[in-house]
Amino acid sequence: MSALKIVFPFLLILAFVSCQKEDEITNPGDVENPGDSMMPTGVFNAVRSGIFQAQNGYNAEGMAQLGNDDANIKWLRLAPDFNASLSTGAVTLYLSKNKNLSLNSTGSFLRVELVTRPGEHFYKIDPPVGDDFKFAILWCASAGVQFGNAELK
Amino acid sequence: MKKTGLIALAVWPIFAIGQSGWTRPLEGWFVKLDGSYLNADRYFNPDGEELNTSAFRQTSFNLYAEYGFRDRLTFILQAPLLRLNSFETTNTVAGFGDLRLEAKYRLTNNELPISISIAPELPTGRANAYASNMAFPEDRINLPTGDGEFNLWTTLAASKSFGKLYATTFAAYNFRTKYEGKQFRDLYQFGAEIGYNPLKSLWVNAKLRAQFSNGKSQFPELGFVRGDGTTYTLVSVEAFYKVNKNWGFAATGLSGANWIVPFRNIYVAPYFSVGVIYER
Repeated sequence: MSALKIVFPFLLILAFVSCQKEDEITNPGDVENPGDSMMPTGVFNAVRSGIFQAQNGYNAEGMAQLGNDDANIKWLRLAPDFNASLSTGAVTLYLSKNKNLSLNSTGSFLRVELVTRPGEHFYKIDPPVGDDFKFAILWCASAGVQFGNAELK
Repeated sequence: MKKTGLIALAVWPIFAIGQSGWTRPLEGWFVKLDGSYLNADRYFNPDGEELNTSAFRQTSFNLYAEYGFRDRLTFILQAPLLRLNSFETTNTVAGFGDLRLEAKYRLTNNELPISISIAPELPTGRANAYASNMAFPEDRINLPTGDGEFNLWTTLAASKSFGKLYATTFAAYNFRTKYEGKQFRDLYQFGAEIGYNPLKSLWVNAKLRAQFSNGKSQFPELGFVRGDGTTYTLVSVEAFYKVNKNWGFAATGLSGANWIVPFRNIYVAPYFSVGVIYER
């Protein structure tokens, strides 16, 4: 009985402290994507498109498009049907020359932006990338796992 | 009964633990405080595919306590007092885990003890705990210290002693509920244990435990930490050493393989814990 008398108050304190420490932001969708503060000028014209293919047991769906606006600036668009396994936190969007992201291969990828919400997004690609960047990649940076890819054709 | 006292259970930080047919003697106590560590970069996704990822690390400080309320009725508490989760690429998040409260009743006498138990597991841990990526701090990953749902374990166990040897087998079922409207898959386990008392103060045991699921996870975005649809086969070895009548030490080593049931939605690596035990 003496052992539990010593431990039980500690147990209660820890339980209380744990409840107080809950993150204020529990829905990652509440965090605004930094890249969304800029939008294309005029009309966005898609040049290449692809549908996300899910990988490694995670969810990745919707369309990705590369194109230009009326000011001839290049943009990467995630269509309104875009969604991914965002409940895990966030995914990072890359453009890549290869279907599977290779972070050890310098020049083969461009980090675009962190994505925390489903739906439509526009990301300015400046300086523009060449046509050999054929894939949009969804990458979980913390775990080092690829959630999906879209071949842009 | 000393056998009951030293059949304390390998503590796996996320999942249910093995059981025996014995119960604590009336007003008897058994308490264990331990620390455990996992460092794993092998992840088996909900489809059972093996991925090599950044290393996931978990340090856990756990309390386990048994009390003999009646000769045939034992109350058991399991509390992850502090759980520290991180990837090698992130900072560390910390918090209490999910509390498990159990009532175990022995149906038969101690010649061939058979027990049943019911154990609600309360969502007292942090249902969301976002760790920040060290290179890109705005990039966060959810590493909760609890699974965010109320669930209920039920267990049937039987044991038999043969002088200095004993054997135990059990079956358990976990009725799971929902988190944020997403239904978890129920889980069930089968296990066996053999133990030996080579010296008066020393007990050793080996355990085999297989966990099944009633289906594949429908919501992989729940993440591996909540254990939805998690299946595995695990083996462990334990040693308990009593330094005097009441106090002692415990050490556990645990690992697994794709034997009875394949790995799904789980990080796998050798896992170790050490602890202090008190018995009266």
